[in-house]
Formats: sequence, structure tokens, C-alpha cells
Amino acid sequence: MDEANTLIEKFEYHLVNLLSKRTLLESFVFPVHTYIAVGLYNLYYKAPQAFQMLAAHITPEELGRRGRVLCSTINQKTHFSIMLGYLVGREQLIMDGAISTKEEIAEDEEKLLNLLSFWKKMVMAYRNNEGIFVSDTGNRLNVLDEHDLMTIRELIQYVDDVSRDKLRRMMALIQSYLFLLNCESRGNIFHHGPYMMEGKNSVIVVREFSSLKSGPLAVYVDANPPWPNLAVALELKGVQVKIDEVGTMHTQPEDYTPAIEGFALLYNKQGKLTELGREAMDEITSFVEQAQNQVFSRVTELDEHSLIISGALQYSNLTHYFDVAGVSGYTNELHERCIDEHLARMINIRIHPFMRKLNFLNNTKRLLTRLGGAIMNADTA
Amino acid sequence: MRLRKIGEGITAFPSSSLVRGRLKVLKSLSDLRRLKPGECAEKIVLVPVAGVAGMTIPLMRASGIICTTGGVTSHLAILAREFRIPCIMGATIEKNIDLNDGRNIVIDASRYVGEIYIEEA
Repeated sequence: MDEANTLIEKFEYHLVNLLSKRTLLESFVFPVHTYIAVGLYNLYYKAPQAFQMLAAHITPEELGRRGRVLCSTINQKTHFSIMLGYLVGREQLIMDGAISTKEEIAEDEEKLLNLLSFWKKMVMAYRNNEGIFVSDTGNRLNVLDEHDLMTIRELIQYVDDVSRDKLRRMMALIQSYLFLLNCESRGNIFHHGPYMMEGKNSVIVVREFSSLKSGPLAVYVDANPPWPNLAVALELKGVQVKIDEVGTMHTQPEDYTPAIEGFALLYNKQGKLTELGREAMDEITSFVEQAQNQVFSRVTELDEHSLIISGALQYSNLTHYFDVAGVSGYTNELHERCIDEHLARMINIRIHPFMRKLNFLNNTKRLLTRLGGAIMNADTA
Repeated sequence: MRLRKIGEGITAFPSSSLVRGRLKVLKSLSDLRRLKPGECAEKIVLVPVAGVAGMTIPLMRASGIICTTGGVTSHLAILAREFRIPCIMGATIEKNIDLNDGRNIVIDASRYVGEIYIEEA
């Protein structure tokens, strides 16, 4: 239990750190605060059983190792987000007074301990035992094996100003399309690195778009992308690169365009790292522009109820773990308690009280409840 | 014309020189949907939300972005960096100032704390 509480403390630290740089997210299109709350309730109800199902078929270590490939749909960001989301969902229920009896507290503790145990083993294997959080390794996240890294190094071609600008534009458009397709979440955008280029004063960072068409809103994109996923391996010189816990790249200086020495375009073809020529940029950009217009025009016609359900499903999606494990039988849908108890209430109150609590980041009160202590309700927390 | 400082925020993408432009205010989804092609081009866009759904095409050709919420890792800030548009996030702006479309605005995004000015006669 002590180990669990130490992990909860670390998640609390990262939660505060992330929000201090981002604050709560609002959008013109999606009721983000509302759907996040519903999604996190859903994660709380569904994650323990889902990972129990997985544990019957695959070890956490093997599941973690399977994520160590290019464009994996399970990665550090998904691992981190699921556990943090579960803890925040738990906090919402504690504030609601739904985990208060002796039996409810005992059940909560048992589920959380089991989930944390599986999660920790999975992440340790994913990180090749280097750490659990990205900050454990100085904000460096190295997951590729030496063979894949060697292949990428050989594929990187040097860049001129025209292709550098074309690359930046393509990446910007893909990111904005994926933000929209994933209901304003960072689904399917992920960075890892920096990897040192031996003998050179430069590093490689890999920007992954792990699926160019997936999630609850993918039905609104008519065409299929020319490739199912895309990785851009960037060779950067003269910038300091850091990766945060949700797989976002931060560079110093912020403008890294002049630092791009070269790049390679790749995708994961059924587990095999495959090169794409630079002409692929035009095809991908064209697809993304059309797809973005389609999704925007269709999504803005949806009613709020549908937007909240789409966002909640996006936020609590665990299907990629089942896909990677090769296990069938899991469906991404809202738990009945979400539909019966939480959806209508959240539509009514819009923002869960826990979200408001997060706005006061400099307070000295604890945000996440430890195990084994007294459970406090909203009035005393 | 003289410059008067009206607000500040955190610089999410810098510019070594002052960015000048006419203001375009986007307050809601309706404003976004009413935009004509190129209407935000070369303008400084002021928005209240840090999400990016629907804003990419209008913002791609903006000369600057001011957002009154969010921080340096908000999606809008990420997008501004990708498009290399000077951007100030989490901006607090003086109240009771008439910030309508067409107003001449200057942003100084050369330092960590970005500053926002209006041009006054």
C-alpha cells in the first residue's frame, strides 16, 4: 500500500505540473470539461475489469514490450493517461460521496491495488526498466531498439528550405486534424526521443501519428488515409529537446524549424518499419485537409449529447490495449452507471467540482486521495 | 500614434520583432462559421479558448494569436508553434477596452512574458 501511495503522490505532482502549463482546456466545438468528467467516470468503472480480462491472456510485461515499436497505439502517453484518468475518476466519485462505506472503500482499494500492480509492470517493461515517468529519465523517452534506430538513422535524408517548410505544414495540419478527430484530445499524437546520433552533434526525435483515422468521429471521414499511420523521424541540431509525460515535445529555443537537419517518413506496416518517399507529404496533406473539413462540418451539426458521448468514449478508450494484446471481446462503450447516473448530471452541472479544485493549483490541500486513510468528501477535501 | 500596453500573457511562440496587425476577434463557433476565406490573414486573432477544433484553417495565415486562456502546452499553443505564428497564451487584458475587429494591435512576443498594446492617436 505504501508503494501505491507513493505512485499516487507522483501522479498528483504530474497532474499539477501538466495543468500549470496548460490550464483546463476549452473548445469552440466540444464541451470538453463535461465529456472529460464522464470519460473519467467511465474509466474508473471499466479499467479494472478490462485489465483483469487482459491479464488472463497476456502478462503486463509482454503487453508493455509490445508497445516498443514505431507507431504503437499503446505508449507512454496512453499508459500515463489511463492511470491518471482512473485516479481522477476515483476522485470525482469520492467527492460525489460514492466511495464512502466500509465496503465501497475496501472494493476501491482492492481494484486500485490490482490495477496499479499490472500498470507498473507494464510501464516498466515498456520503458525497458529505465523508469516509470518520463521525468525519471530527465524527460528523455527512448523506446526503440537499436535495430530500428539504426534503420531510421540510415533513412534520414538531408533537408532543404522548401521541404523543411512543407514538412512543418504537413505536421501542423495532421496535428490539428487529429485534435479535431479525437474531440480535442491528444489521441494518436506522440513523441519519443531524443536519441543521440553517434559521432554527430545532433539528436533524433520521432513524432508519431499512430492512427490517421480512428476513434468515435472517424465515421465522419469518407476517404481512407493513404497510410494508416505515420512517423516523422526528425534529426535536430542545436536545440534542447524534452518530452513530457503525455508525449509532447518541448524544444529550446521554441522554433525548431531551423534546427531540422534531416528527416525520414515512415509507417508501421503490420509491425514492419517501412519507409515513405518525400512525395508522400503531398498525398497526406491533401487527405488531411479534406478530412478535417469533413469532420468539422459534420461534427458542428451534432447535438451536445452526442459530442459528450463521443468525447467520453475517446477519453476512456481501452480498445487499443486489446488490439495490441490480440484479445477480442472488449467494446468501447459507456458503462451503464455512466449513462444512468452521471451523464445527465454532468450535462446539468457542466464542470465537475474536482475540475474546479484543480484550478487552485497553489493550494496546500491534497488533490488525490491516498489509500488506507480517511476518505474525505467534497466539503472537507 | 503611440502604443499603450493593455495586457500580457505567456509567450508560446516568440518573435524577435514587434508584431503589428489589425485585430480579428473570434468569440464563438458562430464567428468561426461566418468567417470568409482569408479573413484572418495577416491579422492578430484574439480568441477566448485554447482548443483548436475548427480554428486551423483561419489561423494558418494569421500574423499573431492572443488567447485569454490556456498555457504553453495548450493545443492552440502547439499549433501556433507548428505554424510559427507569434502567440501569447493565458493573456489578461484590461477591461473596458473596446477590442473590436479592425483595431490596430501590437504584440511583443520577444520575451517569456508577452505584452499586448493598442495603437492610440
